[in-house]
Amino acid sequence: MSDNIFSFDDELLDDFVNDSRDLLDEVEPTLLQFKSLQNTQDSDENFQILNTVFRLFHSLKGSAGFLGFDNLVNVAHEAETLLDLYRSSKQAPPMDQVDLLCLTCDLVRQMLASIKTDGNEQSHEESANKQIVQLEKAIRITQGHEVEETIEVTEITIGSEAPSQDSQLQEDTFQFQMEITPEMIEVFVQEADDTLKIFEADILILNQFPDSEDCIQEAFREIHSMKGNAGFLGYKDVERVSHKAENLLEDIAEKNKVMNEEICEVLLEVSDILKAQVVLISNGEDSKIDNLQAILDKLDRVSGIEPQNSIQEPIKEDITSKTSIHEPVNEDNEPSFEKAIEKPSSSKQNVPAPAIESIVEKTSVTEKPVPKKPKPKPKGNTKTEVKRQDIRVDLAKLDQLIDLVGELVIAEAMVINNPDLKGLDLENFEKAARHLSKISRDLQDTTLSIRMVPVAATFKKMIRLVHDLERKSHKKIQLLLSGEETEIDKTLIEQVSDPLVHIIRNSADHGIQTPEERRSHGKSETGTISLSAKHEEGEVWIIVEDDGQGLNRNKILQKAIEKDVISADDQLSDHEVWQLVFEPGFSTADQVSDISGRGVGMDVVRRNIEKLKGKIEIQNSPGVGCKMILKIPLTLAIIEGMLVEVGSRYYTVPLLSIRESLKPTKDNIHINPDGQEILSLRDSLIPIVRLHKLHKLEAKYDKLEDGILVIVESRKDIYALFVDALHGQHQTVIKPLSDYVGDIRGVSGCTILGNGDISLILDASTLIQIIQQDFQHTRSST
Amino acid sequence: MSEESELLNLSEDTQEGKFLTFKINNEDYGISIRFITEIIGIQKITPLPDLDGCVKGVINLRGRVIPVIDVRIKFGLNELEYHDRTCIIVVNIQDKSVGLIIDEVAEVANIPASLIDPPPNINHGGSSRYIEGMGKLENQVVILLDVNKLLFEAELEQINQVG
Repeated sequence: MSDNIFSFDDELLDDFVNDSRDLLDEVEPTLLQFKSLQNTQDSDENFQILNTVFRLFHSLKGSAGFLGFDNLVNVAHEAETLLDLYRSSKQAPPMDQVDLLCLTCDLVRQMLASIKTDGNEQSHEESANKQIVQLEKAIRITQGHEVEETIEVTEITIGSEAPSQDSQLQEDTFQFQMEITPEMIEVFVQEADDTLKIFEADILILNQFPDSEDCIQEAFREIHSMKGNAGFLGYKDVERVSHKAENLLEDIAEKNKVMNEEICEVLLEVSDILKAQVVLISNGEDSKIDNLQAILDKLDRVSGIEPQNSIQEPIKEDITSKTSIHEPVNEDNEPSFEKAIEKPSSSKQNVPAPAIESIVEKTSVTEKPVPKKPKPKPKGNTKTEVKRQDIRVDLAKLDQLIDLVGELVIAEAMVINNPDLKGLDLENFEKAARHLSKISRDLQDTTLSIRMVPVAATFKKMIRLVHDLERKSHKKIQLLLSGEETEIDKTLIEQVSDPLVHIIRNSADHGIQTPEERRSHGKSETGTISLSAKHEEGEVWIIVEDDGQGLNRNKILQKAIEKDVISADDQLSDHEVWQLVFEPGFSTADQVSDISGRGVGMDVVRRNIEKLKGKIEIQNSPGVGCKMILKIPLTLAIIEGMLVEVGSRYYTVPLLSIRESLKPTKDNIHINPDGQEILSLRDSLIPIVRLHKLHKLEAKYDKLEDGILVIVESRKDIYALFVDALHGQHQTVIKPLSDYVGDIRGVSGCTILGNGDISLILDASTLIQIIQQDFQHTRSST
Repeated sequence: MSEESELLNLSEDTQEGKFLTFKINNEDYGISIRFITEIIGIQKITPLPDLDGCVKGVINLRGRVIPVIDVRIKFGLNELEYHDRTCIIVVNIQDKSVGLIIDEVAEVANIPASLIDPPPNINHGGSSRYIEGMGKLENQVVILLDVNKLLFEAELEQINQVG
């Protein structure tokens, strides 16, 4: 690869790193789907996954090549080669190779990290080479070779292109070992059909605009994939013709040759011949090009190569069949794909004539500036690729936008409800005002939703984690995901990721038992960890549930006493016992394993969640499993709230915690000897809480029957909140109370009303705690 | 509110030695204008439950919710009914905006360092621990407050307890 010719600005690097990370995030879970497909014969599904993963490595290689990260390119290339083999055979790779690919992903991540910090990935050269060796080995095994472990590895590391080309040539000799199924042929025909269509279109454009680099590159890629696929299925003639055409195109791409009409003619002829072959193949006939030598000679002639060159081919095959595959085969003659992929992107900057551009756009789509078009693009599966259309925005800008929109909404309300307008009959004004309100509400909703992202990306990271844990702990674990579409503020979800990792690790290590144990307990051998998310009580709940052995109360108590966290005669509720788990340094593990046991993880969990003003709830059933619920507030989310009036004050009660509201009558109110008022509603007795007393306000009404009772529910607690009046439901933006005042019990935040007033949002669950404390307090004092 | 825009237009350099002076209980106090973002009239304050003392509640400052502190209470003085001269000085310190309720705003005064005496060394407890120095103007003495201490000394402890 050439040196860095361009000086890349940080932004470009950042984009590359970010994009690549996104790709990795996307691909890892996909990769692990193979696990579940190990035993299925569903080749279609395998194929799809393979394609996805293949595309990742391919794009990675392309972008890295463009930026000159050679080590990264080499690694990605090997992974790609390996995947290509499976792609062609539509088999799921065995687990050890999936692992290998996962490790490759890890290495790539490390490289990306270095690129981000140092601007290059040189520090990983050694590990990259090691990984390449591993991948090489896998490739050889996959090709059906007996591996010669002692093969010299150093020389292969740089010229990574050679082996891959080799592998394709080699397949010639090994085709008889491979079972070629009718499906494979069908896919080949479909792919080839599409490939040739694009190829032909490109050549036609080139005929008119010989300088269109994009077309040359694309044609080159298409014919390259044609060669690969044909070679794999053993269509030797097709392969040879493609190979020659490919060489020719490479020469043109490298500017060693200039495109001219003659070349176009020959290439079109190639296209026609290949098309005819594809038709033959699709009819189940053998592929045989009758005037093979004629077309080969023609290609040679326009390439300016002496015809004798064609003898090279058999020799090459000869060499390779002797398993000395690391002989760098005639590198100069081999089309180097990295070079090819590097060009389209750079040429983008030169902006070709617009006319060409538009044609190119029609025939092929290369949308991003980073080279994307994978070489053997899986044309066989006709599903259109989901295009991600997002841009990165500075969070601070977003926050500012949201604040501004909030102010706009308030300002609008101040105009529309302006006291000066009172009593005036303004029909047209009101019409316009309604219109304005609608628009501003839409605007508000949209801006708020910008920050919200589905938890899916974070959840998907856990797939890889569980996979690794499964391997390390020798247990069988499956991970079920649900509610991935639940949206949560972007900054929050980032902070939730770490705690989730720790919790899942614990579940896998301590919770889920070994298959033998599980069997003896009458459970299925495979343990299940389910990860779900949902909106509840104006919060996001992320629930991790396992069907393992659950927390062991006695063991925790015993450890806690040992560690002097509690004294032996403390009487603790279950809840308090579970809280012990979060103590720093607390672990019931007898041995520190490489997964967990140091007692750090759960401490981290608690700290992180508390930082987000969230809560952790543990529901444990010994022997059956353990459920951890992370309750995370939606700092910036919108909630549906009921506006209630108490005295002169307006409060917002989250609609999610309201069960119903009613006007009580004298008959269904009772007072117990403690002075506690109780509402009897149908069959249940519900304590009544006078909000104005709690907040020391002057209430409009003193008699319960004059006001309204709002039945509020929080977990298992239920109580009736006495308020003066209800003022309807509103979608409100939660604003955090200032850091300066810290947490306030019973209030989760505030919101700004249409008239600019601040309304406190009541927090049903902490409110009940205050009430209970007050109640205990009054009881103990009397 | 021309004062406000004037304040905002001053650059760092010219802010040196400039203090906003205001009255509390007929005493002159000053705060370095470096910390001040704006001065607003008294607004509707939404009290927060469960909070006693000088934090009176929160106000809506153009969409931002900021807490306000009654400096009189902070100094242990008796509370006064707010009137039309009562002002809220919005300060921004340690990335937090807080409003200070004071009796009335006087002026922006130039008090060079040479005219500032250290605080009297009599009483370290009570409110005098918030004093940064005593500024001597021609015919008056201005008590210069250390906003950091004023806002965060007690509150830091409080916040730490909560956290």
